Amino acid sequence: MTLSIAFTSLKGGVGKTTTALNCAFAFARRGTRTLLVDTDPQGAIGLSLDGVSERSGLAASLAQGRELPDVVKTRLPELQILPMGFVDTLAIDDLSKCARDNDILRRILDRSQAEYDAVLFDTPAGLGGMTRLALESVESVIAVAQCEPLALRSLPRLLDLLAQLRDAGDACSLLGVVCNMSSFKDPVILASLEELWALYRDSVFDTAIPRDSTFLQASRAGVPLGLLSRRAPAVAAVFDSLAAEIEQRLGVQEGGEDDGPIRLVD
Amino acid sequence: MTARSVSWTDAASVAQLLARASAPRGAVQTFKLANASSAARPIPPAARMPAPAPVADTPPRAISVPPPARLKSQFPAPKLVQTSDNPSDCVDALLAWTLDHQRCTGAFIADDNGLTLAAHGISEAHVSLVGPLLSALVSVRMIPGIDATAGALWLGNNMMSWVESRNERGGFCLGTVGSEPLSSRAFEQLKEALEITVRKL
Amino acid sequence: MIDTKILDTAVQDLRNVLRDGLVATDIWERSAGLSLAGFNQQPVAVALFTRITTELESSLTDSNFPPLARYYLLDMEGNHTVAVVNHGGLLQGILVDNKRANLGILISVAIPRMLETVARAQSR
Repeated sequence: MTLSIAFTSLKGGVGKTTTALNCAFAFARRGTRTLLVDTDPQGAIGLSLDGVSERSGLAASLAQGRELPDVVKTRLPELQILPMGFVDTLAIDDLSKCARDNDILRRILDRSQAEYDAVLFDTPAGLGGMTRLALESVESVIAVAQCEPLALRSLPRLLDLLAQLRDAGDACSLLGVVCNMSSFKDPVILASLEELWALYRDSVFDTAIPRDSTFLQASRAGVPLGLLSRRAPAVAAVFDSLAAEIEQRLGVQEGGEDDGPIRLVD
Repeated sequence: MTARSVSWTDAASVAQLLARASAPRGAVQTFKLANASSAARPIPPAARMPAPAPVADTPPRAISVPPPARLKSQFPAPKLVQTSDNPSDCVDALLAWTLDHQRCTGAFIADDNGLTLAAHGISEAHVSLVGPLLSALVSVRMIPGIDATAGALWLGNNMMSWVESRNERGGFCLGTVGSEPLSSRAFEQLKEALEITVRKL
Repeated sequence: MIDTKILDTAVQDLRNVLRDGLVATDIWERSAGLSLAGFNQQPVAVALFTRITTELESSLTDSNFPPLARYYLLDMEGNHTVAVVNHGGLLQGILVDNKRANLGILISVAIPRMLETVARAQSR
């Protein structure tokens, strides 16, 4: 069965899109056939990737009453993207209503069962509209928490929504909390980290994403970290680690039953 | 410095939320990877990305002021839902729905004599034009296969569009006025919304 | 036999449709001048509009004009409009404030609904 994971936070600017994008890349590099879906009306994935923002996607498909939108292929055969495309600013509220009426996210997941091993959803900040729709559609939710007080204070609201959705019968469940922009140099950030670990314990992924200027460089270039240069920057490995941890939490057995150690020297 | 925690919450509340928000770790599931090798796949040689072009000094783009017409959503209008049985409320709701969701500067609901039931952004005198229009269409509808329950007419710089529907008591029309013709989809939506309302009149 | 409960319902329906535009209404038996249902009725109006309607009908007939059909309207000073509805054996007067009531709704919705409902009341 295809994994479905939404990257979510109440607060904006915590790094959801960067995390979702780089995780998708990492999954694909591991051989997982991955679809990255942008549900953010801002088209954040499109803004993060050179060559994607001008493509039409979910929004155009909904506006024109078309069948599901075409995916954008990438350099990695295992990674494909479903961008949001252009959304008229005044139509943002209507987008989620239209998406809900058309049940588009579930239809995307249904279509993905045969073609993808994992579908990752980047969601907009907040807990309404498209985010709510994504949460109702997926099985796993990763809360992206920036290591600072406001983000920490808003985390319970996200959990409360998940709890309510689960009470109402939805399948979504918190897979974990990923710490973003962590740093041991600033006392407030460190205090936030410590409290996050203390409160959320096993829910917090061991892999924390550090604050690093390389992210800005990748953002400027419009590429995932792993493609910033021929030799990927060191910080890109963080997402390989996170992807592995996500798969482990989901209980995924890589490589099938015959997988095992491979001798280095024959 | 305050002794209050950073998160302003406590472990007990968070633990409760976590218990409700998380599923127990499920049975191990497996899926076949496209590539059986567990080693990370090498990236195909990437084309060298060109250095970003220096930003040229370009004059700022002229800001275009949106036209006076109400800016409407690019998405299909939500279906009109009439929650009241009161005909006046239904007519008002239909007018509001039309103004909110269709590309128009004005809208009206009239009977098939052109008598206004509700209007905004159009005078009753203009609304009354539908009376003779609809009368003229009666003979057009006698041609087999011709529906003629919707139409559009240029009135100077504006286009008036309308759809018709009937109940056992008479005929009604829903019209819009705007600078552009309506799409086929918009006509369908207007027709459906009018039919929903006329059932209540 | 006339079902006055249906007539009461019809009056209530009219009040709902016209809201604060309706000033008064009365449904009366033409021959006896007996009021059967209404809102804010004025007894003098029954006699007046019975007489006006009778005169109108006979004038039309005498002049070989088509007879009165469903209703006629009088535009009166003080922003008042009177609609007199012909229900056959019954007449109905509807006094509206034409600044508050929509004449389109009065003519195309309220009066046709009244005609249907009163016809149902009379068929009992």
